Parts: sequence; structure tokens; C-alpha cells
Amino acid sequence: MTEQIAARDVWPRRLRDESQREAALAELREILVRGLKRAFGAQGGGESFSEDVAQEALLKILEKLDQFSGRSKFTTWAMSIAIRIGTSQFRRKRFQDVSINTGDRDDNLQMNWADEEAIPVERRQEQQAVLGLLQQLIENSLTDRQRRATEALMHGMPVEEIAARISSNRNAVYKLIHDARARLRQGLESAGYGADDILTAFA
Amino acid sequence: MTLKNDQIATLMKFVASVTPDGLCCDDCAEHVPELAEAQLGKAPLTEVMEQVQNHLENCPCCAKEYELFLEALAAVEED
Repeated sequence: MTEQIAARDVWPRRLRDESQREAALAELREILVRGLKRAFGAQGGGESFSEDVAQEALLKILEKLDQFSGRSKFTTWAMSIAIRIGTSQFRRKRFQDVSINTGDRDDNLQMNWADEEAIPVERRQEQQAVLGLLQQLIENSLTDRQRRATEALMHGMPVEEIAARISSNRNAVYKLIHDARARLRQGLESAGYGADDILTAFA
Repeated sequence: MTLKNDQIATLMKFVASVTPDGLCCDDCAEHVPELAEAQLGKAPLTEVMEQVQNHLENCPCCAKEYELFLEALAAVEED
């Protein structure tokens, strides 16, 4: 265990030592690029994207070096930072032209459920009942901010991008949406619809 | 704005599957390296790792990042 901890100190020591830093950064950069290319390759993030993210990640890693606790391998920790930066960049680019309803609320969230003819009448009735109730709960139990954030998330917008549009941060928006979900679930449960009923009706 | 069938089904699942979560996304990010190493090494999860796992089940954004993170680690391990 002591040997393992000592091994985890090697990277931070090399990165702090001016005589070793350049070589350590080059080595770490190569590791990050390899991982980034695999993670983002399928989504169109190629060599140049991975190189740019790795560069930004190296700066962040140096900045946060004192926060490395040794609870994991250094390269695992470093990769987690690079992936978070890469994901952020990817999301920012993908959603750069997408806005959310940020004005005064004059546009209620509507749920336009197209009936599937093949399903039994009873299940269709259950779906309509749950939908009607959920619509009411969204309108009456959630705050305007919760409605807007939940609606944006359902349209595929990531939490951090929602945060950027409502002048908030990722942690706060996650909490905002989590509270909204809990409130909606509580409302459905109070009306007799448990989680299994909901999942079965809309499976 | 209007939600369509697939979005409504996602919302229903999202509402039905919510569980209490004491972590925020930054807490999760801090501990995912140890969770990944534990999972890949099939080591038992500590209490904190279980909390992180619970956050990942509640937060689609962190879950997506974790999925990409595991792919990246696999690429590095292969060499």
C-alpha cells in the first residue's frame, strides 16, 4: 500500500520539478490524447479536438495539482479532468445556437402524446390519466425556473448548458431539477401512481 | 413548448426513477476516478463510491461523462 502511494506521488513530483516537467507533460499529453480520441472519436471529436482538449486539461491539471489526493492513479485522475473539459466543449459547441424559454412564462409546457393504436384501451386510459395529472403538477407544483430547466433537459440540453442560460451553475441546476422530479413523483404517488405504474404505462 | 412521445416517456422514467441524492455534480467528479478504478478492478465499493454511483443514476449528464471516462481509460489500458 505504501509502495502504491509512493508510486502515485511520482507524477506530481515530476510535474513540480522544473527539470522533469517538460518530459512529464509530453508523456501525460500523449496519454490524454489517446483516451480522448477513443472517448470522443465516435461523436466526431478527432485528432485536433483531442489535442486542444488535452492542452487545456494539462493547464487545469497543473493548476489543481495540490488537490490530487492519491485516492486513484494520477493518470486516472488526470483523465477525469480531461473528459470533463472535453464534454463541456462538445456540449457548448453542439448547443451554441439553442435557446431556452427564459422570458416571462406565457408558453405552458404541453405534452402531446400521440396514441399508439396497438396498445390496449386500459393502458391508453392509464397513460392519459397519468399525463393529465403530470401536466397539472408541472403547472401547479413547480416553480417557473424548475419548469424551464426540466423542459430544456427533456429537449436534450445538458445541465451545464441550461445553467449558462439561466445565470446559474451546474450544481444548482442539478439540484433544481432533482427537486422538481421529487416533487412530481410525490404528486403522482399521492394520487396513487407508484413508480412501477408510471414505468409500465409508458414502457 | 411541446414534448413528444419519446420525450414524455423519458420524463416519466426520469420522474419515476428519482432517488434521494446528497451529492452535486462537482462532488461526483471528485470521486469518479476512484469509483472507476474500483469497478474496473472489481474491488468492493466504499460508502462514498456508492453515493457517487447513486448520483450517476440520478444525473444523466454525469452518467454520460462517466461512460466516456471509462472508454478513455480502456483505451489507455489497452496499450
